[in-house]
Amino acid sequence: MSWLTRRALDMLYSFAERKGDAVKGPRTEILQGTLDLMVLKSLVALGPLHGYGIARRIEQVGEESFRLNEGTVYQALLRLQQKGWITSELGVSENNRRARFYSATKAGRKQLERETETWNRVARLVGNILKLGNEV
Amino acid sequence: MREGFKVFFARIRGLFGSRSSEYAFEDEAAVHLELLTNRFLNQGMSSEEARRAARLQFGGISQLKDSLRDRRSYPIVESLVQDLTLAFRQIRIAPRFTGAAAAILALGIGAVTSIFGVVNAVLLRPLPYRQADRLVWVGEVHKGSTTEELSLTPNFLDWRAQNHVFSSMAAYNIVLRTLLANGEALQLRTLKASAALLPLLGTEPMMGRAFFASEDQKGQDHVAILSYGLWRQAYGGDRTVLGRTINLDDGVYVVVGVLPESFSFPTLQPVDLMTPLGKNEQLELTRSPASTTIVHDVIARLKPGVSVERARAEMDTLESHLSVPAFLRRTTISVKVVPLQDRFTGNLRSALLVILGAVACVLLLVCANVANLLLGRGESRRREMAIRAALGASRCRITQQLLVESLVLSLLGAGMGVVIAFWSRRLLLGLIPPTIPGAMSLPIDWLVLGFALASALVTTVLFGLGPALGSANISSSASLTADGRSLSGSVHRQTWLSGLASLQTAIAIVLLASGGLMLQSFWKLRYQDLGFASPRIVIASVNLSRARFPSAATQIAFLDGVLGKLQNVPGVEGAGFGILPPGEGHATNGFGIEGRQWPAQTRRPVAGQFSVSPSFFRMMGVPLREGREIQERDTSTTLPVALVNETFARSLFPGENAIGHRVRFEANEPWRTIVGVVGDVKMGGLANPAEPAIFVPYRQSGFVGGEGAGFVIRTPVGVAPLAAEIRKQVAQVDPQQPVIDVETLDHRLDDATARPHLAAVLLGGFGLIGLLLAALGLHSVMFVLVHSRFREIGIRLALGGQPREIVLLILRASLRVMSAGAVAGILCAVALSRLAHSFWWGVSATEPLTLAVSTVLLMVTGLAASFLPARQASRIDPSEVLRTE
Repeated sequence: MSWLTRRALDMLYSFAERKGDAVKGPRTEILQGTLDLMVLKSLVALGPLHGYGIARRIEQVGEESFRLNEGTVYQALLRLQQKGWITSELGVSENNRRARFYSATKAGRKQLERETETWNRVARLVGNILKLGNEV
Repeated sequence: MREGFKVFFARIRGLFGSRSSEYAFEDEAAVHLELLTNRFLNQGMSSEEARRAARLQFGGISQLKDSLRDRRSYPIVESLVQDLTLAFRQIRIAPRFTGAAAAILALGIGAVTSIFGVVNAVLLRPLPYRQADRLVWVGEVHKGSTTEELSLTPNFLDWRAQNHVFSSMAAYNIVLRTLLANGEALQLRTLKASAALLPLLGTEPMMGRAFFASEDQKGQDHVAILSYGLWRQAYGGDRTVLGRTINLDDGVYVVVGVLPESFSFPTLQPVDLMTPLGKNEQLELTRSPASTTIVHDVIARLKPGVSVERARAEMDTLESHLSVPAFLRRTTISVKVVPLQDRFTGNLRSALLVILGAVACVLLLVCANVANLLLGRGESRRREMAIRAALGASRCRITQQLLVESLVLSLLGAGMGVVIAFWSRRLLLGLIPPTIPGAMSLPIDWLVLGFALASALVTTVLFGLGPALGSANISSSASLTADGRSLSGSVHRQTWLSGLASLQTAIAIVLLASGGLMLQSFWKLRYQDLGFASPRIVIASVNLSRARFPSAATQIAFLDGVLGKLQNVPGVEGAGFGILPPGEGHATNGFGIEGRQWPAQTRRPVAGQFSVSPSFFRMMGVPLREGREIQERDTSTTLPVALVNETFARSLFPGENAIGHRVRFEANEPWRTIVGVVGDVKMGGLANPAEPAIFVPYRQSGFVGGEGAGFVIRTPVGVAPLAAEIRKQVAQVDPQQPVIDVETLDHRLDDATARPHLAAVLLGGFGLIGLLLAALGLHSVMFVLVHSRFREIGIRLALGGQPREIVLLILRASLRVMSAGAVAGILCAVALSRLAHSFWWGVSATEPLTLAVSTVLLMVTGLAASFLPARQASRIDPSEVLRTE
């Protein structure tokens, strides 16, 4: 539990200080770990996608609440690939060009489950902490 | 954690894979941008607008590419790979520079590595016993005669019984004995050793058994264990030798075991055979004057956790509580406890360290030389570096590149150096006297390879770092605009170069001076006036043991017989018998002079006691100073006579004539009249002054023997045609008396000075190498300096300067550089040789002549080396120089 608390506080701090490997968009900032998680989620939910497709999916889910430099998706993809959570293969895109399609591996799916659970707990905890702050 | 590994391996794969990937990130990004552009077009933008918006939304491609590349693998490794590629390209571009630098490095690293190989074999490798670092040598020091280190048997027995610091103790004596095998008499070096010795050293016989503890007792000790060598040589490796009886000169022994081939005893010379110690322990412990014997060496194994210091303290306590009767106590007795390894290499340590120091100096010179070369070709490299800097390379990056280049050079040099070390082993093995333990083979093991690698790394830093930092320091604009010859840069470089040249001069002088001192030291030791004329003398050493000759009469008959026969051998001018120089031991015999009392409490004078034949001094060319020589008519039936040497006469009869005085060695002997004084002969080692000596005719003496005596044969034909004949003549008189060595006296003296000879050859060689390297360094420095002063020289010549003046100008500059180095070098040489003064024999460490000769030699060589660049400078065509500038 203490690990969770620490992680939650870390997140709050990094929001507060605007530090960390944050990706700057015109409207809001998203955390690096968050981006990786979103990319992984997109691949698990929709099956093989190329970078452009992933960017569209995140844009759609994010409801314009944040925008990102789409190139950073490729950084996330590289990180996920090095961890063995996704693989890639060449395919043909809708504009008839050769493109790299990414898909989640078994390890990736498991990781997503773990991360989701952690996230939910962290979110609850952050919520509680913020509520506590109001009462004081 | 597991993901950490995965990422690590993915990145390692990235080192190799990413560049060859057929579908790169650029393609991926292009597709992405195209799709984005299409989307914006569909939203109704113009194509120009759509492309811009797409690029904006995607973000900067090149930054992204960089960050992806850094993440895909390890950038530092990639840049190292890049630098390595560059370094190898540099080697291809400048093969002459690379060749020269690598050759110099190879010589330097090769030299240090081969010398380190010797140090490794002799000093660093543990003795070949189980846990050899836990073994110590124990011995009593009799303060009356500090050179004698041995132990009284009863004391050893008490130590063994009472100590708490050793898990085991063993004693042994080295005894020369004669073995009769196949009708031939073999002179053997044998050991009488405690049964505990083999288990203590951690070895077992290859076949048969070790001694039982009960066999240490006198009377039960007639069993023997053969060395592997003797087993092969005398018994042809016959396995049935076990249980057989053999004849040694003190009785019949049963062979119970054979030692393994790889085993050797902790003795300087190989041992052929061992028998038990054979002491009557009960009797010894009574410590009566008649029954107390000695053991020469005691070896013990420390208990786990016990330090040498604690063992020493315990032994001191034990020793002070022993009930040693006054007659044995001599003066005071202390106990020595030293690690076995030190006991064997103690006197070699300083010599090897001095030589290693000299080698380190050579390596330093090598570094300076390579640094010279690197700085010398700075011009072209500086432009290259300036361009790199202008294109955005950081200082750190440029330094890294230059260091990698230096490292490649060093490793190249180290590789060749190891090859040189490998090949020079045979040369070194030929130079090293075989009596130095461990030097029988010079293995190139991991330690030696590691040393070569370490010296390569050290040299890299030493010769590479300075030039690398210097080059990285240039501001790009200055170098590019000012034609790469900004004044400040070149002044900076000249200071560096002159400093290096001075340093080389200094090191070379130190090397030359120590080499010179060592050569002088050796020369004085070997070719000093020894008191005899060694050429044309062949010696045949024999060991006339008491066991073989129970009475003086048998011994006299043997000597008479052999001398009579030897005189008639063709080619022999004359033969004698006596003590053979240079000897090793010190004079220890007490004696009395008629009519004199030695005051109590003072040390009684001692003198060497030697039995000689009448012809001995004539054969050896020792001059008779006074009186008469021993004559054939001095026999056991005539008046006992003696000769003394000059030192004896001078120290015991100052201001009076020694002739006519009477001396004796034992109280129950008749007095011997001194009839003559002969010149001093060194009998106690070449490095020691002659000691007082008394010579008696063997026909009048009791027992003569022990080691060190032999026949002296004067002959013009040399040793080769005589050796077999001499052995035959001796065998005809007594077939059971072996002859140990037949050799020339000069050969024996060479053997005795083998170590200083080796040191002189090595240090002298290093001196010469140092001289060469310094000259080479000076040459290249002057070359560069001349080139950087082309413009100035051109102007001088254009204004009417004479070529001769230019030559003098350059030579003066070279002399200035050398003088600074020479002063530093002389100071260092004086300081160092004061530290190592015990290392030289017979020469003063600060001898002005050696220093002066070294300095002049270096200066002359240096000037000669500078002459070529100077002449080149004087031949500059002024118009050419001024036009190109």
